[in-house]
Amino acid sequence: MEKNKEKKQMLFYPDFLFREAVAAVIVVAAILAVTLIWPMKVGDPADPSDTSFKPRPEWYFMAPFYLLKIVPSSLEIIPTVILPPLLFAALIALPFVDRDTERSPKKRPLAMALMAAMVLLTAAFTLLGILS
Amino acid sequence: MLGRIIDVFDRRLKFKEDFKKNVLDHPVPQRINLTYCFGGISFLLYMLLAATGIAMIFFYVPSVDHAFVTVEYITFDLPLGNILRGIHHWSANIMIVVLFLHMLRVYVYGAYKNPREFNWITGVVLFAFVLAFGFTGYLLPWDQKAYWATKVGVLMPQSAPVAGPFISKLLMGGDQLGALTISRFYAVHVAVLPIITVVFLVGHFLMIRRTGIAEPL
Repeated sequence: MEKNKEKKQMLFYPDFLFREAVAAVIVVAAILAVTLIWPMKVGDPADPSDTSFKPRPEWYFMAPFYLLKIVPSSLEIIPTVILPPLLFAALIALPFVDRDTERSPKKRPLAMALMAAMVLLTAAFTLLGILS
Repeated sequence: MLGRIIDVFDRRLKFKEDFKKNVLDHPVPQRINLTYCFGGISFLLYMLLAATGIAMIFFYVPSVDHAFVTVEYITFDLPLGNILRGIHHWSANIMIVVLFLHMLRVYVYGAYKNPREFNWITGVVLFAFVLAFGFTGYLLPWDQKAYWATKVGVLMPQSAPVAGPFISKLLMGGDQLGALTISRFYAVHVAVLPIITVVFLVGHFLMIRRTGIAEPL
């Protein structure tokens, strides 16, 4: 089986670039569509004296923001100082920790389980933050 | 016409053949699927963000007194201003999604493994830069949302031992979120981050050209 799978190749130009261009046209059209459907607005000007305003970050910062909100202040250091650098360090270290050359996801159950857990946790905290 | 202009340069500099060999005719595995486009799409988004961002620099003034009114001007009075800001806003948000999918594809296909470790690392650094772009850009409209969300953000490092208060002060440019914060966020957003991002992008691209993209499984 494996041997029959010939490593066929195509050229960057025009083959690959054409596919990329199709995807690009779709993305640009989508951006233009949402831009026209939901025009940009402005909020109220910043007022440093108005402490009653409830802060809300962009959705992609919602997960750490929500964690910060729910942990007791004695553990505040976990979402603010410990977790973000730790996650980035883990991502950077990944190719040197996981040195097995096996690439098929079916044969990397641990890696796939870790990924699923991380994605689900991040998605859950993001959603909980948005709904809170 | 264009061909003749190119020939004028090529007769002297001889770049056409190298360009064809190294860029256009570069072999790519044929059985790749749609998930392979995310990297290229995020580069496209980066260029859209650069173009719309540069256009807005002409009208935006990064100061406590002018930030809000100039954003208001871009949004409501400048011809095509609303679309300019809209494209910048949506491209930025879609960028996060596309980069996440790009990383996920590379992870699932084990494409970060030898010999592409440094591609993965430059990619992680680029993702961090994009988050920094998002954080610094969010403050610039200087509205209530921007002010109070950024306040939470800049005070986050404060709970760190020893260096915490110093880092917060460094982010704010002083003891409070104000004039100095907005000018340094602006400087980082429109000058520092774009340049270091391009440097890492060039590395990311050159390395993937050398190793070739990971064969589909």
